[in-house]
Amino acid sequence: MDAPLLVVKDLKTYFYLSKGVLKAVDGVSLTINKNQVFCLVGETGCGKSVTALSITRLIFYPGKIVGGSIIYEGKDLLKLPENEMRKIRGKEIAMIFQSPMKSLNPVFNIGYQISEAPIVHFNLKHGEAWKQAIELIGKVKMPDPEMRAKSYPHVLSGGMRQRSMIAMMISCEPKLLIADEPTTALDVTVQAQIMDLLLDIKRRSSMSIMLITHNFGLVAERGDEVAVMYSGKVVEGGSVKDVFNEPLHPYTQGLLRCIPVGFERKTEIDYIPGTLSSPINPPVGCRFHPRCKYATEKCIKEEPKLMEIKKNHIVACHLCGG
Amino acid sequence: MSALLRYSVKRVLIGIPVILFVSLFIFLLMQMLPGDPIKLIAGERVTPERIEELRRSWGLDQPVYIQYFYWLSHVMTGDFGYSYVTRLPVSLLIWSRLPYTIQLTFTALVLSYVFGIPIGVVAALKRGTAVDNITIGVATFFYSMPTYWLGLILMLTFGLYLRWFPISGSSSLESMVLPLLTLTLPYVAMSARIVRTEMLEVLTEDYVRTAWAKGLPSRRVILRHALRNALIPLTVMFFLDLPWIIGGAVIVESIFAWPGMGSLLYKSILKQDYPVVQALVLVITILTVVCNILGDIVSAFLDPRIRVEKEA
Amino acid sequence: MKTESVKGTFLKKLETKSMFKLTRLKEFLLLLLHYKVSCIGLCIVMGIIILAIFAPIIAPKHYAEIDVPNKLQPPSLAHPFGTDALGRDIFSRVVYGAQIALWVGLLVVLVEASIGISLGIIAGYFNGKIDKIISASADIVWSFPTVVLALGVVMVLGPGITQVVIAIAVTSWPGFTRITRAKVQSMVNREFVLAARAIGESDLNIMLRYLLPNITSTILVLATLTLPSAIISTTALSFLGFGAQPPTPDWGAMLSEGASQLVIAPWVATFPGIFIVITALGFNLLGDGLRDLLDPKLKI
Repeated sequence: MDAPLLVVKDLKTYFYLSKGVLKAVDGVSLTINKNQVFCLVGETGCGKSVTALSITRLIFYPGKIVGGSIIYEGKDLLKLPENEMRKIRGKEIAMIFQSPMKSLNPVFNIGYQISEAPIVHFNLKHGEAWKQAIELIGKVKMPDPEMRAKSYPHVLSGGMRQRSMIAMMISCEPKLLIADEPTTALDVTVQAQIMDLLLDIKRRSSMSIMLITHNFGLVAERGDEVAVMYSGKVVEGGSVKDVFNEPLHPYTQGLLRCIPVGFERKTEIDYIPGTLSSPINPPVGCRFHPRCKYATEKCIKEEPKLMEIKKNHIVACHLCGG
Repeated sequence: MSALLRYSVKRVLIGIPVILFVSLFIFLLMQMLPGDPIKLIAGERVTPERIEELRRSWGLDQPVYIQYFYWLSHVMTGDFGYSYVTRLPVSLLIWSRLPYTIQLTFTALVLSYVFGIPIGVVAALKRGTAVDNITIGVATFFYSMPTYWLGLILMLTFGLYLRWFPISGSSSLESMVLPLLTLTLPYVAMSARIVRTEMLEVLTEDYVRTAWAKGLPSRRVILRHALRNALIPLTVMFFLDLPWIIGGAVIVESIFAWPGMGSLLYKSILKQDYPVVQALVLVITILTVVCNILGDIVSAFLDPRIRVEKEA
Repeated sequence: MKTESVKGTFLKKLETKSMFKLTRLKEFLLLLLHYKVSCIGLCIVMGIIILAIFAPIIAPKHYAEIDVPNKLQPPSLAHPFGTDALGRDIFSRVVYGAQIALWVGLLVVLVEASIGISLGIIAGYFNGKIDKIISASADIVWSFPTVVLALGVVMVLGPGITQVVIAIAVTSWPGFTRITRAKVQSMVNREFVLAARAIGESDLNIMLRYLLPNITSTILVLATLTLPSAIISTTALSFLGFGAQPPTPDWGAMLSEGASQLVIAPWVATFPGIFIVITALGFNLLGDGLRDLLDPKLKI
């Protein structure tokens, strides 16, 4: 087996607000392998985006990464000096964001923005970088690349902006592309196109994708591995096939039950009662216990640890032998 | 580029009727002034016939709109009439004083931004630390200071007690120091505060996060991505501040006897020298409108979104 | 038994209501403490307000009391801030001056706000041509130097506090208009406004009862931050001799009196000036704190 690409161990990222300490990510561990589509799923507010931002160390005031390790190519990213980390960002680990509308700088044309990273990382000359940018615009399947390069972001549609973002971030051929809900803000038809594009790029350059989403359909269709997050922690992880066919954690089971399947006529759609617990004052013990119908005494008092129950299938739940 | 040109032309075209409208407004305002100008010019012991003669020669017996046209046509050729007090042509008075005011105000404005921008950027970057808090504190302190008081205090300390700088006149470069300092200090404080606020807002924008995610060096992200965007409203402010700072110049010039338009305005109002006041107010108003137009054009130049919006 | 249970539930409801209010109050106070600097501002503001309200009690002498033999005395026990050219006690005059400063400042802000907010709501709500006209006028009026226009108004109408108030309010209303307009624009397409329209509410009603209450906190912050500029502008005009007339103890007027005595009696000008700065500083600090608390995105 190949060595994993990225190993996150016990990552903790807290936000120090005037209301209290917001423990957005409170002990997350996951492993991403080479040439893989790794999906990170969970409800809004469970800490998926913060995990992604922590990997690239883009956590700013009032947030702080307070613990854990992120091993990439034998180095702990959290211990690297900033100028070393900067060389990894954009070049080896790249990231695309959710709202392409706001993620592009309005005063520069996209050709300039796409050529920036190669200029900085590879010391390319402007002319060469511009030519490469035009090529990349073609690679992300936008028509008329030469014209497009001179356009400003505000004249482009949502789909085209996202493609520009992708072009920007693959310009240095990164080994890992973190995609934080890349299609959520787009039309359904465009969503499929963007996902196809991403997978196409992955195939051609053996790049791994960390896909963050709350769309299970997407995960089922395109994902290889998946980790389910709840309230700042990973509660279940494994291959998409295993987790979806045999969900072990009550939360995952609940989530999958919520999806209306096929043409079954149900009178009600299933849902998980309650809401996400407050990240400032999380409940003691298992975070999910207030909403779990199988909760026991132990669940209320003790926090379950992530254990490998089956081959490559980890779960944090007392009821699964955790 | 043509979008920019089209936008500029449009703005200028809109500006012209505005200037005309304002000039009419000022003219009418002046008509409401108390006192009969003819009596002021003619003096005390003059026969009623002589008064009528003078009235006719100055065109003051005509209906208002004709007077306005006379006035307007004179103004457009640069003739603002004659001062009641000194009998000199007003245009001469203004022309001789204009360079002094521009010297003072323009330098003050430029210096304010030259110092204000770096201070504001540093404060924004070190948000929440002691540096930031101290900067805001000091800036708020100077911002709360009225120009006239600051002028007096500076005059007292540096001019009279320490005798470092002259306190009046425009004889040398040194005599510009105190008035310049008085105008600049509150402005540096204000621009630093605003730069800080703008930078803080821009630094949290998504596109700055994208720039960081690309692995660009800090200087590039802060200067090219963040500051460049934060400067757009600031550059517009620069142009809009110019007429405003002339207002501050009225007080500063009067305190320090700086021979500019500001002190001229003050003296003329005291002596009720209406033609001078009228001309000065008109000049300042035109300057304001011009600065507004310039500000709009510059912002369209810096921010490509505006050109498209206005086009549509 | 029945009355017992009714009383019981009523008491319980009262308890929870007051507890709720108490925790809200506690939260507010804790948050304010977090903003220590704006607390200093609050203290200063309260101090000045107390000075203004209790001026006749705090001031040892009346502000117009002349005592020529004792003119231009340096600060002493009898006269903590010294005396001016007519022998008047400067300390008393400064204290009375607080009354004028606050009163006039408040007046200016009220007039400004009324004009500015009304125009802002109209511009933001109706958009289109009306919006364009109002915004364009606002931009031009805003950049026009207040002092110059104020001098012009004073020249036509004569000197005096009322004229000054009008003059300053007439150039400063765009400050309120701009921000109100932006807020209204952000609210106008929200569901509650669309719903109000759908049930047939008149435009005026929507503006007054739906939009206005939502911008109250912003207006409060803006008013607090505009007051110091109003005070500085009015005192500036008094300084130039066009605002308050003697013997009114306006701080600006006192400063101009002191300017001619600057070398031999610097205290005449210094103390009123210090009070202007402190008052303006107090309101600015308080306003900054209020802004961080109520509407952090506000740009001034």
